[in-house]
Amino acid sequence: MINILFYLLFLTSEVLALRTWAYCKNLQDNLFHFSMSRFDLSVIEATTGKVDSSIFLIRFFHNKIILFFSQVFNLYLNFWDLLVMVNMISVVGFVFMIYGIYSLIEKRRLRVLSIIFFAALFLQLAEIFLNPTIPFLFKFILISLPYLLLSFFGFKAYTIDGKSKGRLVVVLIFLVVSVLWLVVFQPQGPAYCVKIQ
Amino acid sequence: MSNLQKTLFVLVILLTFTLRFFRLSEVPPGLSGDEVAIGYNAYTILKTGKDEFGKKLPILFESYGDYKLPGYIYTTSLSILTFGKNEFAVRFPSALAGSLTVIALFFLVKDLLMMDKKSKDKAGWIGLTAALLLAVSPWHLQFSRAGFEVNLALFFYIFAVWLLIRSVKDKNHFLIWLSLSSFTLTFYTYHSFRIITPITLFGLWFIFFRKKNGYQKQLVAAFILLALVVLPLFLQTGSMARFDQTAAFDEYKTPTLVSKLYTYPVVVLRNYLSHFSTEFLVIKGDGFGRHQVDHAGLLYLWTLPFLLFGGFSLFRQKSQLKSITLLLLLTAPFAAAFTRPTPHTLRSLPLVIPLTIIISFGIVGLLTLIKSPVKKIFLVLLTVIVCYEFLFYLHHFYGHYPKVHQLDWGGAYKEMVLEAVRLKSRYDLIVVDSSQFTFAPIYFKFYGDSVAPLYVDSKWTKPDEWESKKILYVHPDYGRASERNLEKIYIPNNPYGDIFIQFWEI
Repeated sequence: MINILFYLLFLTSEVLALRTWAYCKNLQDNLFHFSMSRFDLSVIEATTGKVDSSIFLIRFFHNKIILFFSQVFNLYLNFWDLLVMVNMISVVGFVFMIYGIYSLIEKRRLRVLSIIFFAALFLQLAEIFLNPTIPFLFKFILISLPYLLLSFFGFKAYTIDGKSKGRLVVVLIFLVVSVLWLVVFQPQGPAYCVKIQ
Repeated sequence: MSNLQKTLFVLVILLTFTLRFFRLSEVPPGLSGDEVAIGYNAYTILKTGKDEFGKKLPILFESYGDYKLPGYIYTTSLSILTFGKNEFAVRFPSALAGSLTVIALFFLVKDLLMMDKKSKDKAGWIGLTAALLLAVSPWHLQFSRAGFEVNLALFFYIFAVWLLIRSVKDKNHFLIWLSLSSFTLTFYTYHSFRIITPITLFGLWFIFFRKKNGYQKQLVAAFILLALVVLPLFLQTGSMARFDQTAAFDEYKTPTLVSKLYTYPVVVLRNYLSHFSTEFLVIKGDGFGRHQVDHAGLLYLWTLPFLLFGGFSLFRQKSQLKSITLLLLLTAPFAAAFTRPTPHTLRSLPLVIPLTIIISFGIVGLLTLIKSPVKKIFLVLLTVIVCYEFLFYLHHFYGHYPKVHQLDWGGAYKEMVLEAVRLKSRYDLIVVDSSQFTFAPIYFKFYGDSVAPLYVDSKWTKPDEWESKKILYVHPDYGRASERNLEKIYIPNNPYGDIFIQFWEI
């Protein structure tokens, strides 16, 4: 019974954190989206200007292939940014996501982990390249799904399979921190989503 | 150490010194306001034994009201004595400390691994990899090539940790005293270490000395002495000024004690965690022009997989390296978490050490795992990627950075002073509008002490009684020229063509 209660509290905290991202619903752009116009601008910025440089250096260091991969990689890294994850699935969600990854590796259930990671890889790459007009809710579920799955796995591994006596106290502490986080900080949506003028 | 390792170690040291001293005076472009203040105070200490305000041998230097610690300034006095009052002398202590930190890290990692039977054979290679990674680290290079106090403090800190480990390894009580002396110097060199050093000391005690052994009396005596030596620093006026200026909590409304009790810890937690975000570590650092190069993060992109692998494999071990790395990792962002803005590249510089250790552990660990035929291909691919990213960084650091970030490094303050000095014989008085550029007086003191300008605000007009006087009016300005009797517009060589300074004859 108490486990169910903790599951509900855990779920509530994640939902509350996710809810703060509703801000992005009516906006047309976000931090994670790859835009061809932004890419073109960065190519122009990198290859022109008043900095004197030989054509070889420009081609070697500022070519489209490198710029493309660096932009996509940076956008992809945003999904694994610690603060983005904390703001998306709450502090308690993030902690148990890490624990989930750890226990999957520790128990050598690498196939499950690989599937989740590959799912994350493709879902998030899809988000990077997809048109922002795709329904927000659908898109957002896709983005957050891998984190939610990992965090629930970690939560289960710690609370139900775990042997530590004071584990529910630990969960409670992280739940309290998650709630305080939501109370103290403004909704983080505006930090990640921008309105195209 | 094998002969090959010894040769490689010498090559790493050569690379370290080259990267830190090559064109040190020119890149970064010009001395920043803080560097000039350090340089001028060091110069006055050397000449008169007093700071710029006439205070004799101070423990805290008032400077811009930020009360700078004395460690870097007194060290720079020696450097100015040797090299003269110039850019190289101001940056020399930091560049030297940065180079020595690389050497200290090598011995720290090697000695820690030598204490563990399982890792003994890999000790030299992991130490070498860590030294090489720190030698080419964009994060560490940035702060080693300018007069940053934090870099000197970091050297004292790592040196102290290494000495303590040697004292345990060799059962040499004398090294504990040397170690604590070095820890004491961190207190006197950079503010962050007033928080980082005590936590580290507690951690080291917990790791090495919590069980009773022959060290107890020595340790108690050493800690009492350390507290006594450090105490004067905390009793000085202005010792908390820097914290008051940068405290993280001002932007949160906390009218009651209860609101403070639940807000402050969460703010500290958020600030602390922000130092481990990929945006900070890999993508763009903290965004300050003086703290990193554009388009290159604090860590190279290629190091990320090794960081993950190294972290996982290191923290599963039971070894002293794990305990020390974990201690350094968790302690490093602690001081920065209490301040704003956050994350902060400078205040969290000690973080570069544990991250470098973890990455080097990951590289050697992964290379040991990979079997022979794949290993060669992997090594070739890795070498190509590593070299490309390193060259990319150097291209930005020496090519773009000095031009794009000139204004972050004092712009053309130096040229402004030299031009005023050149023109002074043609004028009765030099008047400088220092309203926009608060650093102008200190640049005049450092580069042009033969000139004593009158500093005025932007509303200043020439008094009627000075009608007959010929005045050179130095007016800092961005992007616009005035039609008033223009003497000269100085345009520094940067891509934006900013007008930095105007010389008016009035």
